[in-house]
Amino acid sequence: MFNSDYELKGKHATYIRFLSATTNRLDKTAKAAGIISTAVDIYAIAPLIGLRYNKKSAEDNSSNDTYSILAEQIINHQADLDFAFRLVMLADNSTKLSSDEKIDRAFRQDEQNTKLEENLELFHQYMRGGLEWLYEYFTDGATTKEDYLEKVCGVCKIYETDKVKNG
Amino acid sequence: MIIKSIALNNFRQYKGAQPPILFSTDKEKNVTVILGVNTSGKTTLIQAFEWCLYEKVNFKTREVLNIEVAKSMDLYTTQEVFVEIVLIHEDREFTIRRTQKFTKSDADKLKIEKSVLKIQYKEDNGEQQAVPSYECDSTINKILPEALSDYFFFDGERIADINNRGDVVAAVRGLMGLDVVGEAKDRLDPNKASSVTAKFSKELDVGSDQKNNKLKNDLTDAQTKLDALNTRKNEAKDEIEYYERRKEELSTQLLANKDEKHNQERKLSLEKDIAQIAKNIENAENRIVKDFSVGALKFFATPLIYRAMKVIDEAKYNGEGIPEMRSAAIDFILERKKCICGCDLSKNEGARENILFEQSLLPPQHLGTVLHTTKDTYKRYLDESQGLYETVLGNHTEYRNNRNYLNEKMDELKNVSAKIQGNIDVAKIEQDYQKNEKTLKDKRDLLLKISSDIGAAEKEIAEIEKTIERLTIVSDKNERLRKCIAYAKAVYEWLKVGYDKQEKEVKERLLESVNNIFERMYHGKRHVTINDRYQIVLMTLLDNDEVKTDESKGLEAVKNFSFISGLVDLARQKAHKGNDVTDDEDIPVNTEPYPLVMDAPFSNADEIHINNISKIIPEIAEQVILMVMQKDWEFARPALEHKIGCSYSIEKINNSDTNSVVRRTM
Amino acid sequence: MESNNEQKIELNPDSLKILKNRIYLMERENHKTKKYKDNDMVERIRKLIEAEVDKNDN
Repeated sequence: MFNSDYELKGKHATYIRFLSATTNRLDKTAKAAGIISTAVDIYAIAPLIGLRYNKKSAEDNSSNDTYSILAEQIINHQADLDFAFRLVMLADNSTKLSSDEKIDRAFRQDEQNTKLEENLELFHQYMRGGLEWLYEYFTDGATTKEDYLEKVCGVCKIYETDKVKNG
Repeated sequence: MIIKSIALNNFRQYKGAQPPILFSTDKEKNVTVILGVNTSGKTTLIQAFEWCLYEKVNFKTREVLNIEVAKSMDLYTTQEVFVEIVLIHEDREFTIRRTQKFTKSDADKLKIEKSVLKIQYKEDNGEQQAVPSYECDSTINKILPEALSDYFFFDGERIADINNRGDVVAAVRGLMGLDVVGEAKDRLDPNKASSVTAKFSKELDVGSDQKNNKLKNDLTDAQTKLDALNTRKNEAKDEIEYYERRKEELSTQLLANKDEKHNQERKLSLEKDIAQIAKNIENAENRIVKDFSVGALKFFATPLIYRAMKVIDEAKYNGEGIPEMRSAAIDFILERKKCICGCDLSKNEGARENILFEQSLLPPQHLGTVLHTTKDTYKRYLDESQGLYETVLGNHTEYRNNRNYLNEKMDELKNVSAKIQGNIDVAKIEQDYQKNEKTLKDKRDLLLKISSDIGAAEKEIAEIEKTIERLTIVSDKNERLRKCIAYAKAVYEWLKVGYDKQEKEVKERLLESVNNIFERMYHGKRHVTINDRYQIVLMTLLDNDEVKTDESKGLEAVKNFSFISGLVDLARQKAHKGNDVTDDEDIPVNTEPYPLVMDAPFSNADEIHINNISKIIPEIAEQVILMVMQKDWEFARPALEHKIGCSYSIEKINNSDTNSVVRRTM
Repeated sequence: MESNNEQKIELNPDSLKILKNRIYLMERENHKTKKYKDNDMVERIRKLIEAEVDKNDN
């Protein structure tokens, strides 16, 4: 798990490209928000946001756009990805699984290919959902870097407020 | 002029008062003869004439007083010498008496007073009018000029070349009646210092005319110079105006440029700032992204973590794994594909999976531990994500500040940029400005100089004008003088022409007469000429050339006699002709006949000459008074006999040389 | 004694004639009478000429 290239397709590729700062780094003129350093970071964060907002999304074929996150990057971020994966497995409420089952899903099914695939699929769905949410959020009334950065503050504020709410 | 009489008193050998010798005034018998032996007093008579008229004394003993009288004088007594001549000149009878008083002051000494000349003339009404004493000499000279006296009182014994004596010109002139014209001419002769013309000329400020004209030229020059200066002044003023305007322009430019420079500097500064701020902004952006990126995972995990932790807490996870069994051991078993029980695992998938499940329960991944670890991690993450919001916010604030700052600067830059004109060469403007300043100063200095020059020129003009004015007064005077001079000269020319004409005529006729007489007296290859000074020159015709020759004394006599005769003859001719007024423009010339008083005219002449001379004499003079020696008279008598009007003889008393009387014989 | 810049001076013929006659007559008269000395004659003639000149100027 999390040791090979991962390719995003369709709009999600576009979205991740849009959100990744690497895009701006590679092309200063790129019309990208670039609010997170690398795509792999986004790859790790997006599922968390997707799950938070209960947003799942299937792979998109609406365009031919692709975006590959290279194995090297993924392997470097394995710990984070692992963390994100297991957290999603634990925190996801979209199935009628018990806590134990969630724990199993989170920690014990790494070797079980079928189960693992399912789990990863779930992870990726949330990831895509998260991308969509982020994309929507960051393109809502924002066109300039300034706007985007403003949005960064905004998203942080949202979570901060939540934190206060949840205690 | 006719001599009527001469009376002597104590004059030399004529002791006492002598009865007047009356001379013949008859027109036909116009000869008076006075005979006398040598030393009797013939010459003395001539001398008497000369002494009376001119106070001339030609004798050795200078005193005119009769010696015997002088000797016989008592002490302190006075004796008188006088000679009185009565003559008729220009129809007027003149009585000329010269008196000299002698007083015996000592036994042998005589005090001699200055002789006194008294002249009277008879007026038309018969009254005697005295000529003022200061005019006596000039009167006499008008009657018979002294210079010519030697011709009319012909002293044959004195054969000194009477030609060389004195200025005969004036004398002849006088005789020929040219004297009025001559005098008038002389009075106007520009070459004579005392003439009217000369006096006018002297008063003529010649220098001032030249000066005047030079000044007029100077004035014109000065005025031209002034005009030029004024033109230059105006030009200079215009130029100054131009350069002052230029100065303003350049000043404005410099001032604007100061702002420009300032603006340009500001712009650069702003641009620098902006670049910096932009950099800061970029850094801030990056920082935000970085910090966000770094903390986002944990941060966004937060709400999920709470959920997960709840799940973990809720889970009752049982089923511990086989104690002390390690995952590695199971790996070994799976590897050998044979279970502990001896089952062939390669053929039994279910069994294999079971073993795998057992393995999953085993360390290192003991689930409890895992969960515990996970929970710790989660707690840690929660902690760690605490500050993200602040950090991001902080970063963002800084970012926003910079952004605002940037905007400010950008605005300012925009403003400043708007003010900037573009490329302006400051250095050049300043250079131009300085150059202009210098030119302006030079022009101002020039204007000052021109103004000063104008002042000087104006002053100069005023001075010249003043001088001209002063000289013009003189010049006006000059004008008048010049006109006077012109008239004077014109009259002079007229007189001169007339005079020259007359004189030429006179000279010609004189010469004619003289030669006439000369040739009648002398037969030979000679004749006489008269030079400009009326001197007679004997010329000999020598092979058709006229050569001045030396003269023998006899020849001298003849020559001189000829001259006299000629003169007298001419006078007589003129007298008889009357006034020569042919037309209005001619000058009337007065002449009157003149007598000849001759003493021993025949000495040194031979009898032929005597005869010849005698024949001529009466014809050439109106009145002839001859003093001759008896022996000479013998030769002359035949020719003159019928012409004699009176005759006298001088007799010595007791043969004394100091006592003579004149006794009328006919 | 000419001045260098003398202009041509016009003489009135009548005045000239008058002067000629009067000067001559004056001289002749004085020659007879010897009334005036040379200086006086000069002055008299001067005045004569000046009078004519002035007459012509006016």
